[in-house]
Amino acid sequence: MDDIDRLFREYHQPVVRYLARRLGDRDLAEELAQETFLRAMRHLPLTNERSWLFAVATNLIRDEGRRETRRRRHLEALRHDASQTLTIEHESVRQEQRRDQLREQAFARSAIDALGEKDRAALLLREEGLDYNEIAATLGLSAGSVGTTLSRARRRLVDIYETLVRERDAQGGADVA
Amino acid sequence: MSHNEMTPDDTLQIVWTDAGHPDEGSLQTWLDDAFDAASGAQVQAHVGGCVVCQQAVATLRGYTAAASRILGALDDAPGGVVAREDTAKAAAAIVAQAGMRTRAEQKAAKAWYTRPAFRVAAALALMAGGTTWVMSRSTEVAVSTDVSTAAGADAAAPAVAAPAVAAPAAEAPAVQAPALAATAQPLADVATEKANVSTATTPSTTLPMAAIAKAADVAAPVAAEMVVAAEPMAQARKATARIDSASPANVSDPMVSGRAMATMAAMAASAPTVAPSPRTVIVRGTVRDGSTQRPIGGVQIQATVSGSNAPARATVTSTSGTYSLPISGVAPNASIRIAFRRIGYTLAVATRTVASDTLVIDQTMTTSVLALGEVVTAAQDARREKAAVPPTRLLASTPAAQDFSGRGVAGGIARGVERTSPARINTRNDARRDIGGNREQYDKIDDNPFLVVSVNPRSTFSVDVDRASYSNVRRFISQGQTPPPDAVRIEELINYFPYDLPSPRGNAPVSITTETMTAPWQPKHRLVRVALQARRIETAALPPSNLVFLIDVSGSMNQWDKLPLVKSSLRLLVDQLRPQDHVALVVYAGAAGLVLPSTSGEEKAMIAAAIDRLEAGGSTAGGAGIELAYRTAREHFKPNGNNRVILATDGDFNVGASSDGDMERLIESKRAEGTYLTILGFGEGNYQDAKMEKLAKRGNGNYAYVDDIAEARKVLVKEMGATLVTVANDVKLQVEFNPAAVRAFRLIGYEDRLLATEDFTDDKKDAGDMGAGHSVTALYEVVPTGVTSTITLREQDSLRYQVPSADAPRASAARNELMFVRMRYKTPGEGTSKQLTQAVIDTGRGSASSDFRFAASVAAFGMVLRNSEHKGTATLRSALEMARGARGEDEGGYRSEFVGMIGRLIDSERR
Repeated sequence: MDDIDRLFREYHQPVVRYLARRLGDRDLAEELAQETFLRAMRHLPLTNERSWLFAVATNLIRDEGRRETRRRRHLEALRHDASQTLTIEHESVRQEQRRDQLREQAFARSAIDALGEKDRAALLLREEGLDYNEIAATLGLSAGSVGTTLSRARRRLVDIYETLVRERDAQGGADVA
Repeated sequence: MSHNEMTPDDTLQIVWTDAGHPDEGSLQTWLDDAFDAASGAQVQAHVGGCVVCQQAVATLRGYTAAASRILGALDDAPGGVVAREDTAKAAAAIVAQAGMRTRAEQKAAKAWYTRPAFRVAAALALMAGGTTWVMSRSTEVAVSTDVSTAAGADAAAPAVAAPAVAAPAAEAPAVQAPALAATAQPLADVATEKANVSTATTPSTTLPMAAIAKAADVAAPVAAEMVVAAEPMAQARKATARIDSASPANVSDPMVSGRAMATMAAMAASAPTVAPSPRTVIVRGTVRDGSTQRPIGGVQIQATVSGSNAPARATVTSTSGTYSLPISGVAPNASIRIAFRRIGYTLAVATRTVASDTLVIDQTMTTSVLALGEVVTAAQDARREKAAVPPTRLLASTPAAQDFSGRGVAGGIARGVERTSPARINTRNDARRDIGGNREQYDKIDDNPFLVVSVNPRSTFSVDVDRASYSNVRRFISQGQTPPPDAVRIEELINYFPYDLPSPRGNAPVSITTETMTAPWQPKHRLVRVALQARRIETAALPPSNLVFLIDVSGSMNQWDKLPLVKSSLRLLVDQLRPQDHVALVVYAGAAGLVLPSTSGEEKAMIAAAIDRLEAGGSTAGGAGIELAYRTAREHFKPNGNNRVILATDGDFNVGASSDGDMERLIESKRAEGTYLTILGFGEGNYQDAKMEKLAKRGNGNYAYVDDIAEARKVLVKEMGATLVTVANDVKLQVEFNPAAVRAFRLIGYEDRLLATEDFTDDKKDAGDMGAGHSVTALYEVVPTGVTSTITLREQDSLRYQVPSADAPRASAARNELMFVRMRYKTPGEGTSKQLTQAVIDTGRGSASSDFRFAASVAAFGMVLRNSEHKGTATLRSALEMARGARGEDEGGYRSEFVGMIGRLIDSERR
């Protein structure tokens, strides 16, 4: 019990963040994280726990692809909620800020979605502090290709994001005119 | 995909380009510190003397920081979901600019994923990936021996470019794929990856375009279905294998492609079937108020599965009324029964049969005049203790019988608690031991004992405006745990709640209010309330603050004395903010990001929510963070205000792209622009004192090491008090008891704030501060003279030389004067204290205010949690009932929340 407690304390937040960034849905991320730790509980003790946890989380993301249709409906519902929240906030002066923030998030989302699965997973795992061997083990890559994968993933993410922002700025000007 | 164990000899090798430089991947590996020492040194040596590589390294660093920042933006989404609107249109343009050919007319009006063309494109790209992989194998393109989809896709990428771009049906969707891939996830990923790779590589396909186009036509109907339903990775693998068996020559044959498609479609059809074995079912939904349709937070949800003797699963709805509860081992077609409980609402029950992996149960609840959940509770207890207690007496203390003004409640509760059986107390202790594995550290608190007035006539302590213990206790209870006794600081629980106290008169910054009533847990004792209310002052004249907190959320901050302490410190500060003050939060770790844009001090809830969301994780890269922080400060620069970046870190401040020297120059230049830097160091072990001090000095700022919340208060509240509104410094209270009226007394709480009698008048002795609008409540439990046998006093010989004051009371002291309150405080900026006094007269008549009764209920609750030897007849139930009867107007709903919280604790302890 103590072991899972420690594991949870140490890795729950990173795993949730990894999943949330990957899925764009915090609730779902929490859910999959819970499943990850439930599985960990059944497998204790783990030899390479961080790598194990992220590998399981990564596999759960894949499984989640099967529940595609249902998830889309769920997303729609949540997005509806979010836009309602937004409507209320529009009454305040922070409207503009909030909208910018949301737009940036949408761009970030688009950019991360535009990466290949392997690039995306490698980048997100690296952001959670996994080392090259752990990333390689989780994704079934050779450790030697992780560096290339990461540099490509980052470059592409930033390029797409910045292009989106530029595009928005250009469009914004057009809208005003 | 399998999880490979790494072998120890799997070391990383530097890859050199033909031009004699390490390739980009190797540079990245070096930057990520993944090489062993020898290889690392080799790269370092090369980069040191190579301008080309230095340039490349700078670029990589830039991309690394920017990527982290972009990803960080995803962590704070309203409703937890990042919207994808607004970008489909723009996504088209990206690819155009990135060099991909695209058609001008984008049909952006229609959602991307509803367009069959996209699906075909995805399928096509997948297929082409498979086919060209086969081809590339025969032409010696490096492919890992592990026949995985990823490796196949990689090798196939160059060849795929042409079809993805050229096939007319595929063109537009492929372009949009970047923005949209998330929904049609892994399959689309494969397509997208191809498309992306094509931007960088020269198309070298040998596939006839016409064949591909035709294949697309054949595939269209099935592909559309497949994208939605298939298990894409597995499929891709199978499809690859399937095509593998075909000869490269046949690949160009549309019929072969069509066959591959048909195979995939068949697999797609079979993929989503559900295995008829026990599985995990997720129950989720939203709970709303039946009449207002507003979401209800804090609803207790309990799920039981038919035909299963597994314990009930439980959760609580979020503030937006949503819940999600995974239940494992549910047999197919089992039915799940969900009970919804919330104080103030009628119990609602929903029973559903499990049809899929997710069960959505939205529930409305109707308000009840009686708090039904609690009546149920009481009834169950009645059964348990029937032998000892006639049920009729029990009913007297149920809400039904309770006067909402709260009169007479105390008596009822006092009766109620006699029923507490020793067995129940033991249960509590057991529950408490369960959380022994918890790593949180709390100093041991020993309850203040009763002191005999003849020996100890005075009680002296420093005020404490902290309230952190309450939220901590609440956290435990919301997780279904009983808080550990030492986490319960009763004064912090009491002070959490706002009370309606008179504002100070004249020049005094603080008013004193006193009141007496019967101690609810010991009817022979009196309870005295001493409440201080600080002036609510006009603050318009004070300079506004523009604060940007730059918070290290790297993995090393994930310790109780680091990020959690940063968060509670920030909360202290937030309490002090005024509407004209602005605060922003920037975090850095692997990610540097704006967690909270500059926000007015008026919107405390929003700031507090952002603070609550801070989490530790990732590696440290401070460079991007500090630049972002300064930029944020600059954007909201207040010309006459206090513009300041406050860095909170454990010292592991890695400056990323720039050197320490660059960092110092940056800080200096910002200081010249009027933005200062304060550094707060947290934690132990990783703390880099010298570096912090150096940086802070450059920023015209101070730096401080924060090891506990008292230090945080000192730094953030007191020393930054020039701009944050403290109205009284070093506030001390001293109460002198009248031996003619009081035999003994006990201060409830403030155990670690006690002062020696002589410290009261010693202005050098530090004490708590009060900010504008703060209130502080202290409760004394008093044993009147003539009352014996209620407590065991550690009697001492009375003083030999001191004339007992009972024999010679001051002429001015009334006989029924219980005690005399003295308060000393300093006006901020002054060195000597002023004093305020007030006598407390106990008439023993009249009813106590709801504020007082509520505070007493909180104290009783705290004593029960602490299992205090002085708790007398107090129980959770008696505290609950007293609190419910003393909610008053309850502005902000804090008291109702408290009532709900005790209810939950009672429920969870019963389980």
